[in-house]
Amino acid sequence: MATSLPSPPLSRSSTPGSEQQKDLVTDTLSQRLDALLEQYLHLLHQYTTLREELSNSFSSAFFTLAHAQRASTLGAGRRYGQEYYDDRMKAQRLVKVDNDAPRHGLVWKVSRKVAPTRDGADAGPNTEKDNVDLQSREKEDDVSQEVKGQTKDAPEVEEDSTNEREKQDPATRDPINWFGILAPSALRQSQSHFTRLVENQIPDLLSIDSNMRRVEGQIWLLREELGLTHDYEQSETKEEVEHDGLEGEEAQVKQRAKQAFRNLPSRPAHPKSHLLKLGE
Amino acid sequence: MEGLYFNVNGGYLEGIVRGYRNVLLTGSQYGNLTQCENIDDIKMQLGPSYGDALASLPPNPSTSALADKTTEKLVQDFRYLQGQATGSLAKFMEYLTYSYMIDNVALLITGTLHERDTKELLERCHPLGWFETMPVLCVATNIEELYNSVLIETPLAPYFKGHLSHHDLDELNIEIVRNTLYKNYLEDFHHFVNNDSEMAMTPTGEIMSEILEFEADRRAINITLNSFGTELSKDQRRKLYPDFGKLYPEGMLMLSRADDIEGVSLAVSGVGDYKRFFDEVGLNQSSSGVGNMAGGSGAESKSLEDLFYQKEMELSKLVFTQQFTHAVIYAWVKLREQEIRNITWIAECIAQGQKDRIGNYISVF
Repeated sequence: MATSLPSPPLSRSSTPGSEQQKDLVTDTLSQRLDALLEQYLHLLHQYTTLREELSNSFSSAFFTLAHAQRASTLGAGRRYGQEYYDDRMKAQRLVKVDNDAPRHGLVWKVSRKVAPTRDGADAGPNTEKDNVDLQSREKEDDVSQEVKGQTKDAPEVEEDSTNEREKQDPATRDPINWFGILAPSALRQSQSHFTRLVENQIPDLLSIDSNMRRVEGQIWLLREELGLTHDYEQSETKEEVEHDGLEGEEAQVKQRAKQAFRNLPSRPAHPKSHLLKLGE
Repeated sequence: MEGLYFNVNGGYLEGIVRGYRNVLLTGSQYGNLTQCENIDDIKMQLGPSYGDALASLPPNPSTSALADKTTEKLVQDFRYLQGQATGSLAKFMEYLTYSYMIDNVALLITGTLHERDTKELLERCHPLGWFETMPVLCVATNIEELYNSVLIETPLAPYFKGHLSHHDLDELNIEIVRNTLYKNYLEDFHHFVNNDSEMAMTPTGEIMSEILEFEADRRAINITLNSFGTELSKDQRRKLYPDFGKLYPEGMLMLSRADDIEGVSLAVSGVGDYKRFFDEVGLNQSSSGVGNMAGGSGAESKSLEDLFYQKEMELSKLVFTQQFTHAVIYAWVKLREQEIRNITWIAECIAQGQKDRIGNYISVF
């Protein structure tokens, strides 16, 4: 990994004394850069693992939903779908984005807005129920984006609703009851899958994502200090070609992470990331 | 003797239904369906059986759209039969539609409770359960109002007798209304097939009794299993069990006292078939810890719900070995409903890329 980092040009130094000092500084900077890159790789690993888990969870959630449709207790040919939604539904989860921990970037947390009215079921969400039909079978890449947008809306929705309907707020009722008290257990399972997705997996993923951006920013700063950015920009076109040649999972992971970086608005100075050349 | 005059009124319809039965999907056709790569392929495979019914579907339709269109075809065929039916057969077919009416009533009053747009919901009602005063249902706010303003005009009115209360409609009460109606409907249907002057002492009564008893038992078992952990009390639950069936009366009494799956299993152990079902899924239940229809269990294992469907299909298939009976129509409707469920399941598995579970459909031909 370290070998891929071009050493800083020596010609810049003027006097032998300051040259030595500069070398020393460069060494420390390089070491810090290495440490950061290592941290980044760890995060990337976590990110890919979580992404895999997320897609598994989504598939089992949708699958149990299909199972519930088959065992529908609503009568022959009736599906658990939009026609049973409560029009007064409100978000039951709050998104909290914590920026107080500069060491970890933004920390995303999703919590219940109110205690569930009934402790029988292990979950009481509603946002994910909407997802079932709305986002339907989206590609998993889009899902995190969508949920991001959706969860961001949640606090606003909540503010509007606090004043109206103080008592017996239909929004606080477990949405599974929309489909009748006697919902089959497959539907309950599906609900708990979706709840876990929204409450744990997606916020975790977003937190790691934000942490990755933070580390990435630091790496860029260090590279700038070391005067390395220029080299990366030059080799960009070459890299593209190489990437096309890559096959299989490695290329996918690289491509995906690269795309993620490309879309970052927070780093306009470097529209393209080259971090992923690490392995070369 | 009983077959002597059957063909005067019922012969043509029986012939038609037997024809319908012959185009039900067979095991090999299901085999072909499971090989499909996408929903368009499924559409093409269904061509011979469903013909034009699926033509209006857009390319790569959703599974729910596919289910809707296949249901439409069932409704068309049923309406054709209904148009030809006279006498006791016409009445028998009306009875078939009552169950859909109950579902529609439940859908609409749930929609009212949820402040939904009525028009939208009316479109989503099952066409077989349509009745004229249905749109008025949306104004009801409690059970009494519901009865007095709307249901008194419908065939469902008698099923409400003795169950009127001033309770406001909430989710619990809607569930109770739905299941009470269904209980009374099953009992009435059972009484009808056994006591109607034209049908008494014919094979229809005998066959339909067996099917309806099974249906009653299945409902009672499902209500019990799904009620664990809900606000439905044991007392309320007991009133939802039909007063006939193989489990009636001891089994039902035991069901009403059951607190968990073991209790249900014990209650049904008096009937060989049900005991076998519970034994077969017994392992699943102890490992997953949830009631029936454990969706996440192993690929090969069938859920309790699947076993019940399987049994229902076997009963329906057997009906076609009998002659001179209205029950073939009931059996055909059930077989078609299962066929739609199978198609939806296969389509869903293909759409979700979960091909390892695709074999969980139920085919008896």
